[in-house]
Amino acid sequence: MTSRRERIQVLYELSLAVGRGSGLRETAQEALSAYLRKLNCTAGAVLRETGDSAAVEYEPVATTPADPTINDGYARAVEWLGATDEPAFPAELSVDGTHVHLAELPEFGVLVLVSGSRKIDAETLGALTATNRKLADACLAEEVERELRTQRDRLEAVVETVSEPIVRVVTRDGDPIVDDVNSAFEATFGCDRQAARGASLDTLLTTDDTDSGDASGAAVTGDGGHVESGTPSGDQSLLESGGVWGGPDTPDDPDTSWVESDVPVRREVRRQTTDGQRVFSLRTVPVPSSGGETEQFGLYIDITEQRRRQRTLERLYRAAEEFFDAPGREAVCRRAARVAADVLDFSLCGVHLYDRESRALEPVATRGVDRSEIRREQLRYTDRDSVVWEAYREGEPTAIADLATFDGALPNENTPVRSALVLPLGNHGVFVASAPTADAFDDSDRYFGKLLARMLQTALDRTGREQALRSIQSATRSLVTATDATGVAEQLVAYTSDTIGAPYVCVWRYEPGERLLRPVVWTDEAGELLGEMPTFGPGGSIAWEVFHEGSPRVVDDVTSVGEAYDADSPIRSEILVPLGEYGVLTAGSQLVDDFSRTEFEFLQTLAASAESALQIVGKRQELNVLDEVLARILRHNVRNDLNVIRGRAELLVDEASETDHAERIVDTADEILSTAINAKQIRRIVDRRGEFVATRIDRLVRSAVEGVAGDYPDAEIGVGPLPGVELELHPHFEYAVRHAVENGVEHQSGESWVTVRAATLETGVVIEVEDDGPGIPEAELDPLAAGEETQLVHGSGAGLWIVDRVVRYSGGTVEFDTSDSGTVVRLILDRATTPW
Amino acid sequence: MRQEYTEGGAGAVATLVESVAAATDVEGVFVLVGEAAAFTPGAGDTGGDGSETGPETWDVAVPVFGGVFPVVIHDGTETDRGTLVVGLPAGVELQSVTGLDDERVGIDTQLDPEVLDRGHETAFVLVDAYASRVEEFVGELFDTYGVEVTFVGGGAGCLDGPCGPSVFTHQGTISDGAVVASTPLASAVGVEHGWEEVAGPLRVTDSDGRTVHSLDGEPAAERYRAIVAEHAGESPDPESFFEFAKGYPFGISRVGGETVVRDPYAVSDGSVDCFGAVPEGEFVHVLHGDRRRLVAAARAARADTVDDTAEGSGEPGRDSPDGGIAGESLDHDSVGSPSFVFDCVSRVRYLGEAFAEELAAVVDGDGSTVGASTLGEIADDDGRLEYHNKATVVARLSDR
Repeated sequence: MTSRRERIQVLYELSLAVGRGSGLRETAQEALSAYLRKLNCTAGAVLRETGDSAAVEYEPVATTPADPTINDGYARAVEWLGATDEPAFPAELSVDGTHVHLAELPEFGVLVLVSGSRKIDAETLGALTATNRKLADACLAEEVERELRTQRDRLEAVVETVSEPIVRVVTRDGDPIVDDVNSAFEATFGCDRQAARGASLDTLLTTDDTDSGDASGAAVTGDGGHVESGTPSGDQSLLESGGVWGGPDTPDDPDTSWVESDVPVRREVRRQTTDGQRVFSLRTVPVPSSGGETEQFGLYIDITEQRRRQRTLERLYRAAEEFFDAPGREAVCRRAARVAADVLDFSLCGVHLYDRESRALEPVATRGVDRSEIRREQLRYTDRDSVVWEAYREGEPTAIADLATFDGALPNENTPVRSALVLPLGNHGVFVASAPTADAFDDSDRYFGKLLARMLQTALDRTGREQALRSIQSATRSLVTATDATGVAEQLVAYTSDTIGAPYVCVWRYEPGERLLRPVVWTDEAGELLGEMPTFGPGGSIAWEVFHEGSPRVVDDVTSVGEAYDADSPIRSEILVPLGEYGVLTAGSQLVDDFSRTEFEFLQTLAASAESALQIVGKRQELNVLDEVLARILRHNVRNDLNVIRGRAELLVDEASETDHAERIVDTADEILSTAINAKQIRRIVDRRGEFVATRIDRLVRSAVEGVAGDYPDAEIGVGPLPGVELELHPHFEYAVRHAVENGVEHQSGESWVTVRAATLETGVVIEVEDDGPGIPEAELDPLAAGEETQLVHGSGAGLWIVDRVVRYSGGTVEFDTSDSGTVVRLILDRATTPW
Repeated sequence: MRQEYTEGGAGAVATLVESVAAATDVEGVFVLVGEAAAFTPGAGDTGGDGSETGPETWDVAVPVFGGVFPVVIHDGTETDRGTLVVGLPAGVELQSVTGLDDERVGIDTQLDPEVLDRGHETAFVLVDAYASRVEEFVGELFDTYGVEVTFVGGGAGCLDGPCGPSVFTHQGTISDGAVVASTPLASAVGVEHGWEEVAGPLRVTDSDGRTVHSLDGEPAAERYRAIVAEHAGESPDPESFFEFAKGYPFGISRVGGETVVRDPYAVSDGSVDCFGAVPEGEFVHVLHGDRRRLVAAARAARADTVDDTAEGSGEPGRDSPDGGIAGESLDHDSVGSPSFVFDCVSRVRYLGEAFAEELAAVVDGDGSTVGASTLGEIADDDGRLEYHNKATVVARLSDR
C-alpha cells in the first residue's frame, strides 16, 4: 500500500523530473525513465498521436526498452489503441498477469506504463493527471521548438550558403545592431564576423570616399541618387534612388532605418567593399523571432556590373543609330569602328570585309592602328587557314586570351598584340578587336562586342540590299534599251560582275536547232580562266538542268555534285539562273562556298529583269521588221500597183460604153490609195509621238484648209477668226485639222459648207470645224470613245482616228457634236489637262 | 553444477579453469576471485614455469567470465583468499562493455538486442563498481532488454578501492567496464534488503551523481550526521563516522516498490559520497537495520526463489519482514537447482560475525550455493532493473 505521503513525494519528484530537455525525444525519455523508476514499472512508452480523426495512429517518441515490441504489455497497449475508435483514458489492461496502464497526454498522445504483476493504484494514477499534462506540454513545446529550430537551421544554412552578403539585424535601444552576417558579407565588405556581431550597422558599412575604388567617384544627389563624375549631370543610370522611406542613402551615411520596417523593402544603395564602392540592390525581410523582437534580414545583391552594362548598352544603342544612317558600306564600317573605340574602349579594332576579287578580308575601317606597331599589310587577311578566316567561315566568334599560348593558326607572325576578339559579320567579313596585353577582353567585352558585330552586320545587310536594289533598278532601265538579245546579255554580264564582284560570269544561249547551250557573252577573267568556253547539252550538266527546269541553283561545292562538273574545272562554287527561253546566266568562283544567299537572290531578280528585257527587245525587233515591211509595201508596192490599176481603169472609163465597173475600180483604187496615204500618216504620227513643236494656230489652220482646198477645188470652205496663239503641238497636228475639214468636205452636197474657226480659251485654244453635212455615224465615233490605240480603222474611219490621235498626242481632246443638221468637230487644246 | 576452489596462484587457477571448462557438462565457466587471492587477473602473473598466465592465456573451448570480489562464497562459507571456478551447464554468450568512465563512449551500441532472439533468459552482470557510469550502464541494460532477461549480478572490485581490472573474460581483463554473460537457463530471483526508515523524507536539494551536497537546503554531511546521532543516541566523530554510516544508508522512495538503498561511504567537504547515484530533487529517507531484520531479509530473498512446501524448511516465503523486496518464484520442484548469491559487502561488514547467520540463511543446505559479496547489486524486483546497495540477491537457475 502506498501511503499518501509517499505518493505525494513521488509525484513531486516526478513533477520535477518532467521538464524541457534538449529535444523532444530527450524530454520524453527522461520523463519516462522517471515514471518507470518512481513507479517501479518494467516497461513504458510515450506515444505521439498522429493522423486525423478518421485514422488515428500512435507513433512512439520514447520507449523503454528501446524495442518495446519485445514486451507483451506494450504490445497489448498498442493493439488496444489500434482497435479502439475513441479510447477513454485512463485505461487499464492486462496480459498474462502483467498490468498495463494508459494515460492521456492531452493534445499530444498517450503514456503507457507496464507495471508487471502489480497494479498501480487508482489514487496514484489519478494524481498523475497534472504531471501528465506537464509532460504533454513539455513535449508539445519541444515539438514546436524542434520545428522552429529546423526551420531556423534550414534558414541559417541557406543564409550561409547564399553567395550574396546577408546581414541579420535587430533594433536595440533604437540602434540597428548586427546579430550575424554570413561568409559572403565578410568577404564582400571586409569585416570580421565576430567583430560585426553586436556592432551597429550604422557604423559597420560606412565608406571612405577618399579611398573609393570606383574610378567614377559618385556624388550624391538630393533625392538620394548618385551621379558619376564625367557623366552628364542627371545621369543616374548606375543608381536608382527611391524606396519605401525615401531619404538619402549615401556611402558615408548609410540609411539603415529599414531595420524598423515591418514590411519587406527594396532599394538600391552604394557601399564600400573590398573592391571599392559598388552598387547593391538591398532587399530586406522582417522575421519575427521566438524572443518577440523582429529580426531583419538584409540581402545585398551586387548590381554594379548590371548597371554598368546597362549604361554601356544605352550608349551603344544611341551610337549604333549613327552607322545605321550611314551612306554606304565604307561609311557604316567607319562609324562602327568609331563606336567600338568610343563606347566599348576597343582602342585597337577594325572592320574587314570580304573582297572576292582579291580573295582577302580587306581592312575597310580601323582604329588605333596608326598608334600601334601593326603594319598595314598585316591587316589584310589572306590566309584561309587562320583563326580569322575560320571565324568568318564558321560564323563563330573567337576570343583569344593569349596569342602566345594559342594553338590555332594566327593570321600574322610577329604581331605586337597579345589578345584578340574576332567577330564574324555574316557574309560580309569580320570585326577584329585586339590589345597589347593578354586577357584584355572580359565577358562584358565579349558580350558587347558581339552586340556591336550584330548591329554592324544588320547595317551592312541593309546597305547591301539597298545597293542591290539600286543596281537592279538601274539594270532594268538599261537592259530594256538594248537593241538586241546580245546587248541584253552583255549588260547582264557587266552588271553581274560589277555588283557581286564575281570574276567569272557568263551567259549561255539556247540553240534550239542543236539543242545546246552555247556561251554568248562572258567576262575576260572567265575567258582567261576557262580558255575555250564549254557548251552544255542535255544531261550531265547543272546548266542544262537549270535551263530545262527553269529553277535557279547555287552549288556551294562542285565536288558535291558528282560528275556534273569536269574534274579539272577550276570553278569550285557557282550560281546558275535561267533566263527563260533564252538561256542561262552563271557566276562562278574558284573558292568553295563563296556566294551568299543575298547574292543568289540578287541574281535571280536581275535575271528576271533580263528575261523581261529579252522579251521586250525581241518584240521590238519584230515590230521593227513588220514596220519596215509594211512601209516598204505601202510606200512602193501598193502605190505603184494602184497607179497602174487606176490608170487602166480610167482608160476603160474613157473608152468603154459600160463604165460602171471601171468607175468602181477607179473609186476602189482611190480608196486603197487613200488608205495607204493614211497608213503612212499614221506611221509618221506614231513615230513622233511624244514630240512637240511650237505652232501658230492661225498658220496651221490656213495651211490645212489650203491643202484640202487643193484636193477639193470645188469645196466651199470658210475660215473664221483665227487667233495668232502659239502652242506646243504634235509635229503633224496639221493632219488632224485637214482630216476634220476633209471629213466635212467629203460629205458636202449642193450648197453645203464647211467653216473652220479657232478661239482662245483661258488656258488654251479650241479649233472648230463645222459643216452642214449628214453627221458622223455613231459606229465611227465609238472606237474613238473607247480610246483604244490598237483599233484598226480604214477609210474615213482612219481620218477620224488620226484626228483623235494627233489631238491626244498634243495633250488635247476631241468633241464631236453631230446632228441631222450637221457636225461640229472641236479640237480642244486646253493646257489644264495632262498630255496623253 | 560443477565447482572447484583453489587458493593457488595463476597457474593453479589456469589449470582449474581449463579442467572445468573441459568437462563435458560444462558450456561456460564463471570465475570468482577473492580480493586477497593469490591469483590477480590483471597482474600478469607467471605460472610455475615462469610463463604469463592471465585469463587470455587459458586454453579453453567455452566462454569464461569472472570478477574480483571482496569475498567469495562457496561451500557455505566465505573467504577472500581463494578463487572459485564454476562450470555452467548451458551455453553462455558474453558481451563486454567498456568505457564506463568515459562519457563519450556509447553504452547502448555495445549491447546486442538480438540476444533475446537467441532465447537467452538469464544474464550474469559483473561491473567495475568504481566506474562512474554504473547506473547509466544498468539503465541501458534495462532500456535494451527490458525485463525480458533476468539480470543478476553486482559490482566487482576491492573493498578499499580500485585494485586493478576487476572484470575479465577468457579474452582478457576489462578496465572500467562490465561483462554480460547471458544463458538460456531460466532463473528465479529474490532481492531483499531489510533496512527500514528511521528519518525523513529529506529532499535532495543539491547533488552531483553519487555525491549529495545538501539535504533540505543544508549541507548533506551535517544533516546526515545529525540524524544518525539522534537515532544512535550519540554523535559520531569524523574518524568513526563510517562505522556509524554503514548502519544508516539512504533510501530512495518509489511507488509500488520498496526503497532503493544508497550506501554512504565517505564524507568530504560537507558532502556525502554514496555507492550509487542520488538524483537531485528526489526525497530520501535515512534507513537503519538490525541483525535480525537483515538476516530475515536475506532469508526472504532465498525464499523468493524456492517453493516453501517443496523444501519443507519452514523458511519464510513471501511474507517477509518489512523492508523485504518481492522477487520471482519458481515451481516447488526446482529445489536443488544451483543458486547464486550476491550479497552486498557492506552487509558483511555491518553484520560482522553475524554474517555467518545471514550466509546460512541464503545458501542451500547441500553447499552448492556459490557467489560473492559485491559492491552493489544488480537485479530487478518485479519491476524496473535497479542497481541496489546493501541488498541480498539470490538467483536460482533451472534448465527449463
